[in-house]
Amino acid sequence: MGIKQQGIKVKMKLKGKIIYPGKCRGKVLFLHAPLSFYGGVDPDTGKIIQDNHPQKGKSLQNKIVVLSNSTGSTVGSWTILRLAENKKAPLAFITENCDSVLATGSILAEIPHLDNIPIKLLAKIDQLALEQQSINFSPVESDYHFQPKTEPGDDFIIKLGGSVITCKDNPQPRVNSQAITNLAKKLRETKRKFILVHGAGSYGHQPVSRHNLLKRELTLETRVLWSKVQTFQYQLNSQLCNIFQENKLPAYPVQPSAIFRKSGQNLILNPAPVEFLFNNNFIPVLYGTPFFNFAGKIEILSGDTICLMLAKELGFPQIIHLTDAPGFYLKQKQQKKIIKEIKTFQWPGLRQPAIEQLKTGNDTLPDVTGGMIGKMDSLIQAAAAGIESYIIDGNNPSSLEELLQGINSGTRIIPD
Amino acid sequence: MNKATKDSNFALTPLLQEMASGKLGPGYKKAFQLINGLARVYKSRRLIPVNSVQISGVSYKNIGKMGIEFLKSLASPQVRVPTTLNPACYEPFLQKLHLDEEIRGQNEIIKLYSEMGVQTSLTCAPYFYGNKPEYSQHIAWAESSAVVYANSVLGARTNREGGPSALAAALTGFTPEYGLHLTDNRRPQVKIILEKTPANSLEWGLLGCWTGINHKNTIPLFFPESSSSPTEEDLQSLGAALITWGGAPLFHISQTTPEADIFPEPENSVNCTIEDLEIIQRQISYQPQTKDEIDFVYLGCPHYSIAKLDEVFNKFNAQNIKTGIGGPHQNLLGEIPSSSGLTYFGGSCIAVSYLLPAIRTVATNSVKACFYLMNRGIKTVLLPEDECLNLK
Repeated sequence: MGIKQQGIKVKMKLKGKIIYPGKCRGKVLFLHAPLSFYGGVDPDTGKIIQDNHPQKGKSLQNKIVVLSNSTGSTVGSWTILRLAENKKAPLAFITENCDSVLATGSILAEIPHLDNIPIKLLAKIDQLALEQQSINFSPVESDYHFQPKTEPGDDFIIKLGGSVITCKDNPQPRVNSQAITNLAKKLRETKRKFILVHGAGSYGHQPVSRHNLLKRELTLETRVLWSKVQTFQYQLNSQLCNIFQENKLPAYPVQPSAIFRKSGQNLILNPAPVEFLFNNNFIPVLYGTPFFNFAGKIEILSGDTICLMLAKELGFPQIIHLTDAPGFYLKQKQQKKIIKEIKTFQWPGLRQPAIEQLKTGNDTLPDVTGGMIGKMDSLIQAAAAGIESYIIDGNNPSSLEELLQGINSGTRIIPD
Repeated sequence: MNKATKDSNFALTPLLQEMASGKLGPGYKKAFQLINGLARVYKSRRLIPVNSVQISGVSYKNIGKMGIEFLKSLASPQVRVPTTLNPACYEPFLQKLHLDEEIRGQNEIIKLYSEMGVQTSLTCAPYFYGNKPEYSQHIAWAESSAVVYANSVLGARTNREGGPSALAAALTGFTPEYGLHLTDNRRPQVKIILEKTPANSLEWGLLGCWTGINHKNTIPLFFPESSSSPTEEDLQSLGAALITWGGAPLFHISQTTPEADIFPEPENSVNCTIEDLEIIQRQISYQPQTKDEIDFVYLGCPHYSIAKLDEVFNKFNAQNIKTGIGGPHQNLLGEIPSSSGLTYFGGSCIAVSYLLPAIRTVATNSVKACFYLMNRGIKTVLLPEDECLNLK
C-alpha cells in the first residue's frame, strides 16, 4: 500500500496565464470532463445538469473549479454571467486549454481565472490558493495500490488475444484461468498505465461461425443465438476481470457496444467513459463483441478495431498484442520465420504471401474477424496514424515481461 | 498602470490605451478586457481592425435579466464599425402567452443595443440586408450560420464569436488575430466526394449534418458529382447545418466557393453516398404516422433573401396549414401579404422564441431548425420546401 506522509506538507506552486486577475483560497471542484455551460449548468442553482457529464448534480458555487476547457454554444458566456448575478458562481476557474466561451464568461462576470495549468496534477487536491499568476497547493500521496506513473508517452493499450485467455481445444467455452493469472501478475509489475482489450476465443468465434450467423437474417433462432454470443462475452469478461481484481488490479468492465456506433461507413467512438476511468487510475477492460450498425444489421466489432480506435481517439502511442503466435511470420522450409520489424510501406508486399500461407496451412480455429491478416491490417492503419505496435507470444508470459523492459521477441510494426 | 495593459503582449494604439485605462467609461474598458483576454487565450500576435460586426445574444429567452443588467452597466458606449443584430423573440407569441415581463425585457434589450448605434435589422442573414463583407475582409461575427456563410461563400474572415466578444469587437473596432483570420487555418482538412449533388436545400442541409456528425469541426472540401451550382439558399442550408451539428465554421466546394481551389487538396478523402444521407434523414427526422399529425410549417431558417421571401409568399395560399416564415424586421421589407395561415416571424426566429403549446409537430426544410426544435422536445419532420408548401 502507498504510504500517506502524515504531517508533511509539500508545497507546490504552478504558474499560469491570467485570463481575469484575482486572489482567493478555497475548496477545489475538479471536473473530469469538459462542461457545456449553456444547457449544462443551471444558472439559478449553480448545479451541473449536463446529461452525459460524470459529475452531474455537483454545484459550482463557491468552488475553485478546475477543468480542461468548456464546450458548446457561445451562449455559455451569458450563463456564467447569470451564475454570478445569482451568487451561484465559482470562486475561480483554473483551466488547461481555455476556450473563448469560458474566457468571455469569466471576464464578463469578473471571476478570477488562470489558464495554462496542467490540471492532472490537481485531480486529487482538496484545497488551493490562487495568487494572481500562480496557484499553491499540497500534493496528495496516492493511496491506491495500483500506482501508475503518469508521464505521457508511457501509456499503452494491451490486447489479450482470445486464444490466449480461453482453452482453444475445448468445444465448450472455457476460460484459461492460469494464463490470465500469469499475465495479471506481469502487468502488476509495470508502473505504466494501460487499457485492456480482450478477444473472444472459444466464447465467440465458434458460436458465430458454427451457425453462420453473420450471413443469416434475423429470426427467432438467430436472435437467441446472437443473445447467447453476447452473454458468453459477458461471462468471459467477468471471469477475466475477477482474476485481475483478485490480483489487486482495478479492472473495470466497459461494454463496447455502448460507446461505439456506426454512421454510414464510419465508426464513431464516445471515449468519455474510458477516458474517465483511465484518468482515475482504473484499468478499463473492453472486448470484441457483436454490435449494431444503422442499416439495422449486426456485425462484429473486433478487439483489434477497438484498440485502433481507442489509440487514435485518446492519443495512445503504443498497442501491444498478445496472440497465440509468437509474432507475424512467414513459413520458409517448414520453419516459422518471425519478421522482427514491419514498416507500413512493406505490408503490401507481405500481405499476399501471408494469405497464400493461410490457404495452404491448417488454421484449425475459426476467426470471424479476419485473424492475423485482419490484425495486421489494423496495426498498419495504426502505424499510419503514428502509433507503434507489437505482436508477441501470449502463451509465454515472459515475452510480455521482456517487452515491458524494452526487449522485443515478436514483431514490431512502425510508421515509415 | 492598468493590469490589463501590462499583460498585453503587443503594442496598443493610443485609443486602445485609453479604453484599457477606463478613461472612456466602463463599456469600453470591459470591451478591451474581453479582446485582450481572448488575445491571451489564443496567443495572438496582435489585434486587427474589423470591417463589420454581427451580434448575437439578443433573445430575452437566452440572455435574460442578467444580460440586460450587463448591457446597462456598459453605459451606452458607441460602436465604431457597422454592426447588425441577430433575431429576437417573436413578440406576438409572447403576447398570446401573456409573458409581459419578457416583452418588456425583449424591447429593452433591442433599445439598449440601438442606443449603442447597432442597426436593429434583427436578422441572422445580415449579408442579405445591408451588412455584406467583401472577399478577405476581417470581420467579427457571432451568429453561427452567418459566420459560416461569410467565411465560405463570401470569403470574408471571421472566427465564431460569442455575443459579448462580438460586441467588444464592435466597441473597440478590433479583434485578436487567430484562427480563421490566418490564411493557413482556412485550408480544407478533409475531401468529401459526393455520389450525387444534392437536389434542394434540404439535401444540402443533410450533407452539412452528415459532415458535421462524422467530421466534427474539420474543414471540408466538397466535390459535387455534377457542375450544377447550388443556390444561395442551398449554401445557407449547408453551412447552417454543418456548424450546428459539427462546429466547422468554414467549408469549401470545388469550383464554386471563392477559396476552394487556392489550397492543396487534403489527403484524407471520404465518400458520401446517397444512402448515407438517407440514413441521416431517418435518424434526425421525426416520422409521422400521417401528414395530418403536422400542425405547423416553418421556413426561412436561416432567414431568406428578399427575392426568396417574395417567391415563398407567392407560393403560399390560404388552404395551406399554418406556416411560419423567418426573415428580417418588417421595416426592411415592402408589403407582407396578410393571409390567415401565414405568420411572418419578422426580426425573429422559431429557435429563439417562446412557442405556443399548440405547436407540437413542425415540418421544416431546415436541418439547423430541426436540431434546435428537437432539442426542445418538438417533433420535427424534415421535408423539402415544395412539400412543406403543399401541406394542406
